Amino acid sequence: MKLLCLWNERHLSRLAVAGRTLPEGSRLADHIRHCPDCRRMWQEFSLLTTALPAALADPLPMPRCSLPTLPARHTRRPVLRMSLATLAVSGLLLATWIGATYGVRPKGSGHPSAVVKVFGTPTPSPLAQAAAVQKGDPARPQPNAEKHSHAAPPCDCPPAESETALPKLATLEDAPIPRASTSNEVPEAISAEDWGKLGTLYAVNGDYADAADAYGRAYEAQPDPDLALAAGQSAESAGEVNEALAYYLHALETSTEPQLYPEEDEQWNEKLVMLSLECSSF
Amino acid sequence: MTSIAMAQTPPEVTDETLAKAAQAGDTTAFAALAARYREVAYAYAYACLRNRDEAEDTVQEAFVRIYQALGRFRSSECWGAWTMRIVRNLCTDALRRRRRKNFPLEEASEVSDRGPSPEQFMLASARTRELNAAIAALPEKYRIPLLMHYGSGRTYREIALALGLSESTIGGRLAGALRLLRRRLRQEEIR
Repeated sequence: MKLLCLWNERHLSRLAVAGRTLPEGSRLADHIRHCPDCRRMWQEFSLLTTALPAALADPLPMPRCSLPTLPARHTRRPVLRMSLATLAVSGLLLATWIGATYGVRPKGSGHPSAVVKVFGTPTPSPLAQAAAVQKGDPARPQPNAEKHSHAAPPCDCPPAESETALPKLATLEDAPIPRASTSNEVPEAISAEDWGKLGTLYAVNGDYADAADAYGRAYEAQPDPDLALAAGQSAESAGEVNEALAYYLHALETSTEPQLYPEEDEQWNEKLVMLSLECSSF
Repeated sequence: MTSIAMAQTPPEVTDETLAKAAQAGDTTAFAALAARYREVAYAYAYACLRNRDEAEDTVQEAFVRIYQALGRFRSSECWGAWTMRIVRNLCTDALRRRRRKNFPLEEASEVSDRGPSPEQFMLASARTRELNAAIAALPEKYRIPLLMHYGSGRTYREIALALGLSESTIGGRLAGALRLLRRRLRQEEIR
């Protein structure tokens, strides 16, 4: 697979997710016409987006019923369900009593029946209506629908969320190559150089998560400390501090130029300490 | 006091207005707020826990907690973000409890959750099972947006709200999930 095809993979996946067709007369469309790899890739992405809603559709969506009537459909855990309902109602009664006694509840009714009514209100979700009229908001996908009407997102922003249960990293032994588990998912043999170039392209476009992934694959193919360093920097820019730290530790370990990363280099040590602290704070 | 939340609250009435009314004791306002966020909360919980019963329990517990904590909601905050933060925390707790019981996520996956229908299972093609297995193997940050979007039909906006991320990040993650899925399925084909 050529470098250009790897680069196209990103564009094609985004087009497929957005339910768009190939822009007529574009360089990408021309390339796909002549490149069997990319043509197949595009077909597979389109097939996937068509198959996913059917494969994943929840046959029994969230019921619009109240707590006491829930067991009607769920007969597998009636005791637990009843006890949960009882607990919830008891909790509310207790809260009401405390509120009435000490005046700490929200003003107005705190009677449990009011809350039960809340869950039982068959009001249609206005969020969906509001979302639909919102300009530029992607439409929700219909099961089995072939195309979706999303606007393609312009770019990837660095993720702001914290992933759950990130392990603390202290040594190289604790720092596996973050993408090692997915390294054998690509059947084509792609050189480390091509992965590295792809990483540069992603990074230049501000797509740091993909850049880290590409550099990581390059590093797996050829354990070059510069690649690990680039992967770490991209991962850090993408907000994946845990990955970044792992890559940095690999870069330090595999470096053959110790003068570049001396242990007494305070700046470098400070950075590792900061990242370790950030990781441990999750 | 007259209720500002009618049976069908117009979308122009902001969440914060409703929250203020709910804090003042208007239970129908709280009902309207719950109706606005119930589906997206359930979609998130289901994508996260992959078990319908557990997802429903979690969402209901979340709304009970939200009701109890109404007094702590500040009007300067975004109601949706506040609500979804509580849902996310409860889902994390549920996952933690499950891990403590050594009950891995795969066991609670969609296929096992639909257990009572063997016909469905028989009819499901090998390809669909492969697809479900590939989805279960996706990293969480890709899997949850994918399940919410294609499984529950949530919009980018709703997923972004549920996860506390931007809409463009959601688009990027969905595309990334698609790339990973394709690679994994192609790998399965080669085997």
